[in-house]
Formats: sequence, C-alpha cells, structure tokens
Amino acid sequence: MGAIKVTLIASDHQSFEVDVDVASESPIFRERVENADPGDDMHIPVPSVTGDVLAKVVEYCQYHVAAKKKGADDEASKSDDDVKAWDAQFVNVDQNLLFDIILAANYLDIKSLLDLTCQAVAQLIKGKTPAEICKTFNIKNEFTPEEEEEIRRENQWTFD
Amino acid sequence: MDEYRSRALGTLCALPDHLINLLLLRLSIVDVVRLACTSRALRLICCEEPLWQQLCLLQADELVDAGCSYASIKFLANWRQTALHMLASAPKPPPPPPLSSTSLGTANASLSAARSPHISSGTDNVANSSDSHVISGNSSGETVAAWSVFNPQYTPSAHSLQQAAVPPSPTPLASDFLYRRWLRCHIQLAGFVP
Repeated sequence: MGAIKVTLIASDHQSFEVDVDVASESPIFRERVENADPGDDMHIPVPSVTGDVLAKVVEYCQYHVAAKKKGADDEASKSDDDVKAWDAQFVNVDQNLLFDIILAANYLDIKSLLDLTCQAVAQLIKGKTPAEICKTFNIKNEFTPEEEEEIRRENQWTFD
Repeated sequence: MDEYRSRALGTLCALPDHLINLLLLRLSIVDVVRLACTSRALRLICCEEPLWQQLCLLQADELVDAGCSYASIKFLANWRQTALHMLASAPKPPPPPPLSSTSLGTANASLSAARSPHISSGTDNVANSSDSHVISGNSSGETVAAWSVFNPQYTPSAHSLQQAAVPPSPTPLASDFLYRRWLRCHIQLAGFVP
C-alpha cells in the first residue's frame, strides 16, 4: 500500500507525485483513492488549487506523515517541539499565500492545516490596536468622524 | 459589491465569510472588540450574535474553571452584552496576571512592553514576531490549542456595556453566510406548515 503513488494535478497543470499515505491526509483524496479500481492510474485533478499553493499543502502533508510514522516504529521521532517549530516556519509566508493555503485546506478538508493557518492569521490580529489591524490587512475604514468618535468612546476600555 | 468587500475587509476579503468567522473564534473577546473598530463591515461580522454566543459560552467555561458558578451568569439584552457584562464582573487577577505568561500572550506582552521596557525583554519577541506573522514566539510558552477568549485584566466601561445592546449600523456588505445565521436565530417556526 505504501508504495502506491498518487499524482495530484493543480489548476495550472503542475503535477505532484506523492505517496498514498500523504494524499490520504485529505479526506477528499482518500475517498478518491479508496474508490479507485486496482490498476487505475492515480491522477487526481485539483482544479481549484494552483501549483504553488498545492506545493505547500503537499509539503505540509509529507512532513506530518513522516513525523507521525517515525514515532510508530520507535525510532527517533520528531518531538512535538520540532513539529511546532516546523509549523511556525511553515506559516511564515506572505499573507496572500497564507490565505490561499487556508482556502485550499478548507477545500481539501485538512483540519490540522486549517487550524494551523487560522491560528497564524489570528496571531496577526491579536494584541493590536484597530489602526494597526487596518494597516496589517490594508482595511479602508469608512466611518464618519462622529461614528469614529463614538467608537473610540465606546471601546476606550480595550486600550487602557 | 465585491469592490466594497475588498475595501472594507482589506486582504481578508480573499477568505469567504465562514472562514473569517472561524478565525474570529481564535481571538479573545478584547481582540474581537478591537477588530470591530476597524471598519463597518468588520463591525457587522464581529458583532454577530451567534459569534458572541460562542465567545460568551467559552468565556463562561473559563470562568467556571476559575471557580465561579454558572448560576452567577445572567442573560441580558443579547449575547454581546452578556459576554461583556460577564467580563466586567469577573474577578480581576492580582497585578501581575497569572494567566498572562501562558494563554494571553501577545495582548499582554505588547502592553507590558510599552509600560516597562526593562522587564519584558523576553516577551518583546512575542510582540515583535506577531508583526511578521510568525507564531514561533508562541511555541515556547503557548501549548497548541490553548487560546483563551477571556481577558480578565480588562473591564468594559458602563458605556460600552450599554452600547452593546445596540445592533451595528447597516453596511453594503452582502453576506449569505451572516444572513443564514441571522435567520436561524430569528425565524418563527410557530406558523410553519409543511
């Protein structure tokens, strides 16, 4: 089973050959693999995900499958700290790619990746003032000066 | 309409509404309130009742873990007011908040960094790294899924408690997701005949 390869084809026709275990991280691929007849060539098109995003998703799945596997046969497994450090490095990408990975993780139903990336975006918001948040995400605020004053008065307690 | 969305949500407009909502559940109450100050559209998303229901109940769980009883929690005009009132009447931590080093990470770190630059050389990293969207500063102190909605060090003002009962002002933001959630809360089934 482990030797079987699956080819994922992104929207821009980039293809990624991965182990069946790696592809199975996504329930969508797993179902497709399980329902395939023996002898089928395993080409799964992923039309809503572009190549560079799918590359990141595959990288994530490969790392996490590898990290889990080593633990099983009693060898030097990747410690939780290693995995955490790797995850932190993994989400250290520019915002647009991060959002694309969230969309892909949501579409492919990879819960741990969705958790990780959502947490990374939440981390961008945490502990910032509204002005800093606007700058981070390039939000144009359209409040009138009166509204702005009222909002400032209402939420003063969060800045004390 | 899409143009409005990209203006009001900035780069966040890349995400559909249900994923933005998922993000908000990973913020603390104070962070949601601050995010609600950024634009009218985000105010609408951040003041939504089902979201506050979840925030409120999560906070209630944390309060009960801290030794309060569910009986002391009273529903007010809406979930937002209930949650803020609960936060206002929660027992306040002693000056160096015991929770701050673990689960309330950045909010605290940046505050204490501003107040006392000497003490917080360790926490500075956390505050800085959040700018360059890394969560590495976290990996040391914060355990994986341990985020907290509860910010005991903040006390909502009486004015903000009163204003929490007022629904957010309308925006041109069209959102099927928010509409469906609103409908689920408000639909009257009494007259429904299949």
